Amino acid sequence: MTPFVRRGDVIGASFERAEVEILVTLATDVRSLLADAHRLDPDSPSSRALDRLLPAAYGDGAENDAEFRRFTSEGLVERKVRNAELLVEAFGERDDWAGTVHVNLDAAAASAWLRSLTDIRLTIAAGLGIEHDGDELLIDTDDRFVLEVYGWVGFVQESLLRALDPDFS
Amino acid sequence: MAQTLDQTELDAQLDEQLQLGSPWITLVWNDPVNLMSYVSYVFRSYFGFSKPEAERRMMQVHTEGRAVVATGTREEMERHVEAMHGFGLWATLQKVDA
Repeated sequence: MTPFVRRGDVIGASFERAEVEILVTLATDVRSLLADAHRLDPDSPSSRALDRLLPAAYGDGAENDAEFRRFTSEGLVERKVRNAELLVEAFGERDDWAGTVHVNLDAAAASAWLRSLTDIRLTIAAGLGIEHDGDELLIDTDDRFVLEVYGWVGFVQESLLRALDPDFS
Repeated sequence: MAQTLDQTELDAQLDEQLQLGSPWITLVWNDPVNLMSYVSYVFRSYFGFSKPEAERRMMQVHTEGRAVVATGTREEMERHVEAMHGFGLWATLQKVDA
């Protein structure tokens, strides 16, 4: 990947095809997770990921949390699904993916990307059990590849923030 | 890394909110996932904080475990919390006890 660079009103970067496959897979996974939100077993790993995407608003584990969810979760899920779709759509048609794929993001697309990259990282973190600062240093060697992807998605996000406004990073 | 907020400091913060007649607050909590630069971006772009103010509150989240980012009515705070969840930040609202 080449870091994001601003050119006029758009922010662009080039990704290797393998990197595109990874981002598209991750965004699609988050999208599926959210789409299945209403029928998850509360003790499943997917449910733990969902708790990170839609955290409790009051933390009382009771009526207030339930009511907040009832009124907000549908809209939040819809917007998160849309952000994941916008991330995928930025890469264009799969048939056109050659050695490198160039993306150009306008302000709205950049905003969707930032949010979707966050949702992707929250989902990976839930799977790896990253709950506190420093937990990523304690990951099993079996999960090393996933951890590298997690770090790389953070790099993509940081690069986007830097191009968007040098002051953000 | 997350540390508990110093009680005196918390009391001072809350006294200030109460004097303003704003019994509800929005808190953003430290999490190990979100980048410091992203949290700062969210605080600037959503709340309209200046860069130094956004950085100050972001560092407060990072070092003290949480920061108050808004005060007001319950409905306003619910709207902010929903927006923060849209950004993927861990936010809650609570009533300030008199």
